Amino acid sequence: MERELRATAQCICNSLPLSLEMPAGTGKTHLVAAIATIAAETSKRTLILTHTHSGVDAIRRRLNRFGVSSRAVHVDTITGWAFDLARSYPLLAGTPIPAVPDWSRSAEYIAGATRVAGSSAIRDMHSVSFDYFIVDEYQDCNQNQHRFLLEIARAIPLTCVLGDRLQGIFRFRNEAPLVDWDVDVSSRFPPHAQTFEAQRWKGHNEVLGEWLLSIRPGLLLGLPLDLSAISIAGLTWKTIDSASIVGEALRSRPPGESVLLLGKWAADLDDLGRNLRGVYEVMEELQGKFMIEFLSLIDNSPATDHAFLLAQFAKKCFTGLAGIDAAVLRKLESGVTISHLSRPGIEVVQQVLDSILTGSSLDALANAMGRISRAPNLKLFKREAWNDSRTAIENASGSEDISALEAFGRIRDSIRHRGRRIARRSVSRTLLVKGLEFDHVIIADADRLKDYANLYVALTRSRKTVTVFSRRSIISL
Amino acid sequence: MRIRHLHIENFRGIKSLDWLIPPDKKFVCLIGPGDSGKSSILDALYWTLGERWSLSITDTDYFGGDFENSITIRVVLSDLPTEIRSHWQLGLNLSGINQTGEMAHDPIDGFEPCVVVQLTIDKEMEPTWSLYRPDGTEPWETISSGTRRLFSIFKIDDRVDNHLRWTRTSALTKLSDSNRNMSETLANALRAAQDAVSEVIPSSMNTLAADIGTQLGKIGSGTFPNLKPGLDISGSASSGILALFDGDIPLTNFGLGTRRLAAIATQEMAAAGKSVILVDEIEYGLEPHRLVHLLKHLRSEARHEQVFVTTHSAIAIEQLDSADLAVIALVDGAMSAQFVPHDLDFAQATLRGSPSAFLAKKIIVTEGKTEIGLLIGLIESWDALASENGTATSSALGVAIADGKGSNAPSRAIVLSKLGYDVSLFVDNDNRTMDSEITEANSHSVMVFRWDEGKCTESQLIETLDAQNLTDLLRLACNTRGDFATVKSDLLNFSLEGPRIPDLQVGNWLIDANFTIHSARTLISNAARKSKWFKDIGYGILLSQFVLERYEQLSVEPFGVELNRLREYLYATDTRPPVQRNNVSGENF
Repeated sequence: MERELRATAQCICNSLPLSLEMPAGTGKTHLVAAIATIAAETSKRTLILTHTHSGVDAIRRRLNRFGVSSRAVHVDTITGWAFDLARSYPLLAGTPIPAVPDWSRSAEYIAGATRVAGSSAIRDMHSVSFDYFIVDEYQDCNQNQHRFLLEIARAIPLTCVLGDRLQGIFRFRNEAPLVDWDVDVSSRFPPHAQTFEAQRWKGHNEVLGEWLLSIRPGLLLGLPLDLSAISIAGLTWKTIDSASIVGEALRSRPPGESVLLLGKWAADLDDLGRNLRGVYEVMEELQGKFMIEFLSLIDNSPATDHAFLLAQFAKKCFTGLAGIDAAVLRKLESGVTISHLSRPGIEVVQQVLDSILTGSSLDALANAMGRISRAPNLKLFKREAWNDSRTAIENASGSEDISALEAFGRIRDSIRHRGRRIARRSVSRTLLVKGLEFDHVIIADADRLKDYANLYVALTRSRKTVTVFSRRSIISL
Repeated sequence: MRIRHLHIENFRGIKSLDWLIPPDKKFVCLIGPGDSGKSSILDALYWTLGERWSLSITDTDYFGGDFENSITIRVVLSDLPTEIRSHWQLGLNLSGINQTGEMAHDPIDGFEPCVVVQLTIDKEMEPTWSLYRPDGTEPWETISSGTRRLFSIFKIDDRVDNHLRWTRTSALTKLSDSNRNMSETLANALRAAQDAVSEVIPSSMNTLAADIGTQLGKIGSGTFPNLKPGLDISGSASSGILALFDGDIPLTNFGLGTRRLAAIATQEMAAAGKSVILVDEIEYGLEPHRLVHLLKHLRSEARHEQVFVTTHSAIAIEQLDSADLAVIALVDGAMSAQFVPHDLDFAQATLRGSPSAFLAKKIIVTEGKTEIGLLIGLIESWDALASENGTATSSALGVAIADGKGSNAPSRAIVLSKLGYDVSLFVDNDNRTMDSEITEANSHSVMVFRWDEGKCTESQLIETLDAQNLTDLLRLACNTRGDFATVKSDLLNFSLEGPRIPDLQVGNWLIDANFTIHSARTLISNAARKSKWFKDIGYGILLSQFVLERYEQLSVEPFGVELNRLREYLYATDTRPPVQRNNVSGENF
């Protein structure tokens, strides 16, 4: 750990409780890990909560690099911690909680966990377990999460909350409003003054980093961003047009460097992924609505429908399956074989689909999916969706007790603990990449981003270059 | 940490046990008849809470030897150490227990946090340690040996030598672990020892070893060109090879008592926080003074948060408060464990008066010393007969005689009966103030043996004696009172009309001194009672000899009939007779 970082972290440890607002890329994750490391050096233990699984991963990696024992720090998502508390203490939570989390109900888990954390026994549990409490990305907390975290902070008074109000992009429908930094955060946790350096861009593109720091005050005020007037190495603005987006994405980059292509909606990502023919992988949201749709159909349909359902699903995940057209799908739906039809290049897929036409076991279905993955002339661009669905079906076939959907829930839940694999070239949305870093970022449709916070998050994901596609050079959201 | 509840199913002789331990029980002494399963309770606690990850389980550990019924042991622990309560250990597995022992899934208001540790052993003899939650749903989370180590539970039994060596689970090793680099030090020491040994080994031993090598080669077991003596640092011996020495003598060579004390001492040092200590047969190997000292130490040592001991020693029991005692009873596998309740009168008095009674199965509470002596003598003779006939003796049946201290006898009998003992009362019938208490005792399943109304032991006996036997009794009285003159003066004190007492020959009294056999009996009876001719255990024994010599003759008299009834009760192998006779409420009232 560098001396400067240690000094900063030590100063924070000595001034707790406090809140600290830090712009993107100024080493927030580093600082969080440094605080926990300094604590661990004096046998103190730290609870670190953040919002996303990628955030958890990033902090864990940093802690590993600092050589902190996992016995000294516990890192989790806020909802993950809430689920564990509510699940362990249903009487205190006032509500029964299933063994496998249903993340669409996380608001209930938070509400239950708030009651759990407020009980004297669990306040004691928190206070004997941890000396320090750190919450990262506090700007993303809604009012309910805020109340939950305040209960924990009551048990662990040495609390440090970090965040950046300009990165507050978690806004789900029907959810409590997000915290107001001035009203909710600063009042509870005294603001800590700190100077920042653009860390993320060191050794990559420091000029870009300085520029990103410089635009922050304007974006905070809601001022439009004029990209035409700016000349920063690595920052490119282009008029939107799909051919050039693909061209930019497929441009050769130095080996080993990562590229993130950002779209807005899930459908945009699939289109982009399809156009990029499997060179990029489409990142899926953790809940995996797309896969859930497919797997619940598999669970609830007769086995004779598997071939038809699989053909539909495969078309959404692979390029090269144009031959599985409406005619083919109609035949499969009515249980008629398709191998005799001439579809050059995808004969293997035709055979595989025919082989499960008369009704197959889940085992045979998983096997068929494996054979389709290996079939020639196909490109898999929704790799995560395809592979996790296949694994779920395989796991369900090996057990009498669980459906494919339940098996999928477990797979996704285990990602929560293990962390997810990020492809070197990913297509994604701002919401899914918060806290992640890439060498190169391409923003596919900047004027359609929801707000300046989304724009700021998108721009600050990159270390080396950002290419912004938009209709106009002045981005006004 | 405190053990608050113990639940056992199908473990050894215990088909079922549910034992609630109040929160204030710091020192618990398990007592009860020899085979009541006290040691099994300690083993159940140790198996469940100890840090071992494998157990040597055999068929006989299953109730009735039937391994189809899996073994379940559940222990509720409260007052948990900080580390256990933390998220790093069992912070997400806390349940609740309230002052009266009710349980809740969560540590809700009014309930303090606790954990329920469960050991199950399935029919494959595979042990599983897990965290049970009341009203919860399986599967339970498992609990590691490392976490169980934090419970700091120790057991002192006859296998104490382990604790005097540096073995994997011994207290010495624990002590060493807290000292950095200890394992490395040990490894280096072993290596140095290995070298040293090879240097001092006489050449003759080396030659012998080489010869053995040659011989092995000859008989075809391969070649051993380099066979030599050395320290065995392989396998299990590598840790056990280091032992505690006193001077040149390893502690394992000392007497059992010393070894057990040394083991307790090392474990007290090894327990990082507060510990729970289990001592099976605490009196084992210890002289009374060392036993008394050890008990005092264990009851006061702050390092032990809770102590469980078993004992068969009246000396041990005498040192304790009645509230320390938990009486274990086992009937057809159904075990009960009951603390001597605080609200039971006379518990402490009973403990002080007749500590050994607490160790028996069947207790006869007697009115006084005469009856004790009489019973001792009778039982000795009855036992001899039982031995001859090959039937169970009183000690095999767990019979004990307790001094009821006169009119306290009925209340003491009630105390003992409430604790689950099979209790009978053997009392005089000349004190009307005892009647109501005797009735109450009878309603508490106490079997009552009582003389005819108005009679005490002496008068009931004497009223059946003829002149010759009365004379013999007077001779016996001369022994207990010292001489004839004293006996004579005793008699004269109660002789209203001052008749002459010419000599010991009661036959002569009838002829020469205006006595009838009745008046002679009344006088002797009064004198015997008022002058306490036989009020002493030793004299009671002498009296029993007198009775035994005339037993056949007496057995048709009320005196003998009642004794025979008592004898039948004492030697009955089933526990309590279903129908009780009661002299108080029956014929006499």
